[in-house]
Amino acid sequence: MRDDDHDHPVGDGADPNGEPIIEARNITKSFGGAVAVDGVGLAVGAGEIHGLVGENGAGKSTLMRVLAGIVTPDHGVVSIDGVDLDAGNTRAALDAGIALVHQELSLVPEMTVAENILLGSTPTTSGFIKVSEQRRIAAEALNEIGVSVDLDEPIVRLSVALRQFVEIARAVARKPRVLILDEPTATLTPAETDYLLDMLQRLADRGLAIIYISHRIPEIFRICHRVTVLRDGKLVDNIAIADTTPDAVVDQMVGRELKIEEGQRREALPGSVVLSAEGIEAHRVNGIDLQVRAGEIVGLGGLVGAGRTELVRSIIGADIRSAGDVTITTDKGEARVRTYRSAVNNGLAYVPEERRTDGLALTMSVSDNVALPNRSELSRAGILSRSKIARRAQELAEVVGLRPPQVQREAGEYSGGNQQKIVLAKWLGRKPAVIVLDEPTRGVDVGAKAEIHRLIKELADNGTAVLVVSSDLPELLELSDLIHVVRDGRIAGTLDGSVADEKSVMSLASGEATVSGNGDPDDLVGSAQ
Amino acid sequence: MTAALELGSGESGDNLLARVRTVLGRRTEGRAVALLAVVAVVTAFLEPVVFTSYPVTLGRIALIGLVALGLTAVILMGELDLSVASTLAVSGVVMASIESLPLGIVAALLVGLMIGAANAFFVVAVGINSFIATLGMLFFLRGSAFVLSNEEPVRLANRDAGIAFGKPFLGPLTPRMLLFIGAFIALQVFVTRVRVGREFYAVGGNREAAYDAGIPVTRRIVTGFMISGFVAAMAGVINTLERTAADPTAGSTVLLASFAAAIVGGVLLTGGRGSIFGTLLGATSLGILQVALTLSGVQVDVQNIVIGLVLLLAVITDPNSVRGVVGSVRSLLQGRSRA
Amino acid sequence: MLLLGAVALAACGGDSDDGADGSDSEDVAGATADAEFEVYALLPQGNDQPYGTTYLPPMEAKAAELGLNLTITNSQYDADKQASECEVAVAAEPDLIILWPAVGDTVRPCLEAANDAGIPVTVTNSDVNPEDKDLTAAYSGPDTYGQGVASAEIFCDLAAGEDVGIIMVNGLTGNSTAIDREAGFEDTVNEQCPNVEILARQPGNWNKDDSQLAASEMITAVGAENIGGVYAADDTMVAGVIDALKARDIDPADLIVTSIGNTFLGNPLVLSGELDGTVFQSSSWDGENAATTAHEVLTGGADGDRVVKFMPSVKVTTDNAESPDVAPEW
Repeated sequence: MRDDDHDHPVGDGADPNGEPIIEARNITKSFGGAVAVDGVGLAVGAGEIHGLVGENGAGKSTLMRVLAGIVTPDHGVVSIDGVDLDAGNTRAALDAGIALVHQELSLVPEMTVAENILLGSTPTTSGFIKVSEQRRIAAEALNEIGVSVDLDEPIVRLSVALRQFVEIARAVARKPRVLILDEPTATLTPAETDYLLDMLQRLADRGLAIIYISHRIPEIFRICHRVTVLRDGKLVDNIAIADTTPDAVVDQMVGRELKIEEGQRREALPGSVVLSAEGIEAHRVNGIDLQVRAGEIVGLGGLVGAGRTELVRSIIGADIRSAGDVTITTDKGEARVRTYRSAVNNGLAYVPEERRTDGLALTMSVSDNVALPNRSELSRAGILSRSKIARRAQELAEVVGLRPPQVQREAGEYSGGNQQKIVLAKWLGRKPAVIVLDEPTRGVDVGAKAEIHRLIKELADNGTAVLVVSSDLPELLELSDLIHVVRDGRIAGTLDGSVADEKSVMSLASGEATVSGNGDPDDLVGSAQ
Repeated sequence: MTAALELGSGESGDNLLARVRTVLGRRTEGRAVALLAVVAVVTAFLEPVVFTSYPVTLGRIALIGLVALGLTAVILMGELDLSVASTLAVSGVVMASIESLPLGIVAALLVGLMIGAANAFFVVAVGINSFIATLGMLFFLRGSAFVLSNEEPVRLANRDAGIAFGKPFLGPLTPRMLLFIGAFIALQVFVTRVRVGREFYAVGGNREAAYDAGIPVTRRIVTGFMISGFVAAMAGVINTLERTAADPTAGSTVLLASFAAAIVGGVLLTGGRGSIFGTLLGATSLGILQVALTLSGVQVDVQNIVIGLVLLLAVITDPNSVRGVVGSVRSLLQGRSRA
Repeated sequence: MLLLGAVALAACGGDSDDGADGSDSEDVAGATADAEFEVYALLPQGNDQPYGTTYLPPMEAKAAELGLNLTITNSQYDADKQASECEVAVAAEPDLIILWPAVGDTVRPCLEAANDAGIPVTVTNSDVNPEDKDLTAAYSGPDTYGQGVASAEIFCDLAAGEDVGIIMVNGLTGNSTAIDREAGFEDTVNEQCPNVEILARQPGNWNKDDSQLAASEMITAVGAENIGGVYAADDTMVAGVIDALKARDIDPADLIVTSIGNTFLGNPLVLSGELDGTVFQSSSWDGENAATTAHEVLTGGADGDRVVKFMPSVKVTTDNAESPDVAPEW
């Protein structure tokens, strides 16, 4: 597949010999007074992978949308091969060879893989779709990125990871000169991420200019030749990877000294069992038992699609379970939980994965969102007390580190990381007996991530039983006292958080260390219950 | 190198059974087929006349289904068109008001296209929600039909042509059925094989993605509404011919029947999912059911109850809902036995 | 499991009702005669309207007595639906079809289809258009012209030769019942009491609100002092007129007021003296005679000529309003 099979060590700087393919000069864009991008320039040459980093809200996405012609900048120009492009013209950008792989997946669920890859540029003869050519081009594009998938499969039937690859195939099918990827690995497992990064290097070797946006600093250092750091819409640095270090980049991003507490584990003193689930069966969940004690953080690891989200949703009663019992034991006694409502009434808090749709009312203010689960506490004779809500919300906003801590603003105006903090604040106000978190830091920048980790640990230290689902292995290892690895809707194995490592979790998750026949997994601390 | 990553592309297997399962799993008409089978079998036992005099049943299916076919084009894009029944009435009145039959037919169809364009204008240019825009259009057109007709049925100048139109034309098939079949084939091909029609799914399934991919979303919506308006006008023309007069109150049961056919056929009201074929199946189920119930002399109120049950059945047999219901029933029973 | 349950439920819903309808008529039929004839009755209303509710039971009872096995449909005044029900009826090859046209102008194809299949059609309640009459075997129902005549006769009696100016509220423009009643009333007045002068006329569209508005406008137009009487084409509309008069401080009892219907709305108005006279339209007569007329045609009592059975236009005034013979039915 790889025609030019020459060696291409990472970070040797492929660009300097040629003119840049894409160049953006002095881009400024503000939305209603707030400056999102402020005089930023960027140049990427053929064969170069250019990293773009910054905290959420630093202006990365806006800059990319300007490059792709989706957003019209207030000032500045984008040029390809020295020719200026018509600003804010998506078609012109596409025709000039700029392809953007969106952060939010932009595939049509009920259309097939082939149709999605050629969406908007379907080949036709007098209006009729040329099906064979459509399939041929789609197959070529998939081939080019080395992914094998049935062309006639509708997108809804694909895994999240496959959808991401189809999205990339779609960009590649346009034979772009510049490929922009916005957080492509956020939903991928480590193996899939590896594969994607290798693939990007191959594409760069063929002369593509690639702009790669990620929160994951190690990925940047693995594949990028140069990195651009943005903060608050301004360019902080543009430097060759060889000349910088991960710590330096993180410092530049956050603009303050931030110790990433990597591997810094807390001393867990688990109390009695608070959350107990027995024999849970539901859609994609095939008989699972688990317990979470007061002050304990239990992690659920596994691949995307292993059934973890389904498991927690059925435990908390948000989805119907076909069998199994769940009890929550607090100082008020033991309660059997069948519905989500009864779970919440018995002291459970839930922070869903899709916070945009499940966890927050985006058009309501931060303080109203925070008040939602605390209505009885904040109301007097059934009437919500405005001042009480505002005061309480303000307190909580400061505890979770909401920036800016303006609780009257709409939740939708905040960035992803801040929205997650609002969701946490919402539940912190209740001092829950149990909190269930699904991917608490997906798409969140490093600064906010560290703060969210701190909050979760604090909750546990204060006696809350914590159940957390995470695909982010370092996060899972850092937080969890006990890790259950889920595969195919079952617990494939249980590991003690203090001795588990990425390898042991992944081998359980991927099925390499299955409980084959009746044998026990050899090198694991705990076995499947 | 490429085989390095197995991402698990569904359950596409090698043997025939697995392939059949994969193909079936991709279709959205599964429930409509099952429902049709149940309805057909029950009817075959209770009212075999439904099948022995199949031209009557086909006629009923065409009556229910034609407007539903056009409506499906709009629903696929996640929009609604509530004005179809009024469009049918107005176009019929316009047609009957014109002395010359061919001229009247052309005028009626043009009226349908114009109504579709007007609906689309309100939805895409003014930015009104399609439910509200077409609800307004519904009242406007119904009122217009009454005003234009002077509140009474308008008789066709050429009644003999109308009566001849209602007679079988090709074998047992009347022109209505042939036009219905023609409309079905045309629309089915349009949304599966023609790029513009296929992109309706993108507009309904993920509008943002459709914009980003450079699909002219506005033009697609205009096209969809014009199809819906045209097909409704066509139904108005056919009805007026067959009845030899245009009734301004015509189509009072068309709106709900059309939506019911689409829903039973597995068309998702929020757009992006479903098919013209599904709507055909839905209309067929409802048509057979209605004829069977009419033959049994069942009161119209009871007929409505049965049709309502079928609609609910079609919706709750969505695999997710079934699982939910089974699960909650089971946990309820468990809870009882333990308490 | 659920699917089966729901299907069974749906099937039961259909079945049990079918069964109930069938057994009703069979029970009665068993007592008198065997079911000899299959008859489809294509009606535009049923238990969803007051008239239909009191029309159906006498019809069903009579049919059972005469050995007619009825299958009744209700098109809810949708011409397309009735046309489709007509197709179903023709396909079922009954011995006769009873038709109450939903929209008179649209029934010709149905009549032709029945004719082609050799199925006789009798018409009930509202007659078909004159040119379609030769495709039908009989009509039974109100004599709409005669009702207008009867209402006018009450009026002329009360006017007693004096000059009276009146306002007239008619039914829906173009509706055949409205046209016939208006003609019956006007022809009779011109003939029997030319001293009565129609000062103004407007359609009240068979409903009370429209009628009230129309009456109010006419009162203004011709001047309250010139009005000595009112005719409205049905009881519902006359109630609207009476309200309009009261709103102008005119006591309806001082005027001559007549209408048609003798409904639950009209009969008390007669008793209270606000309405001087109305004409009884009996829904039970209508339903019963739909069945007897059909039976007559089936048993060949008609030998070729079109049977026409008019409902007697019984006058209802203060003298007889309490009589059980004219007890309102709808």
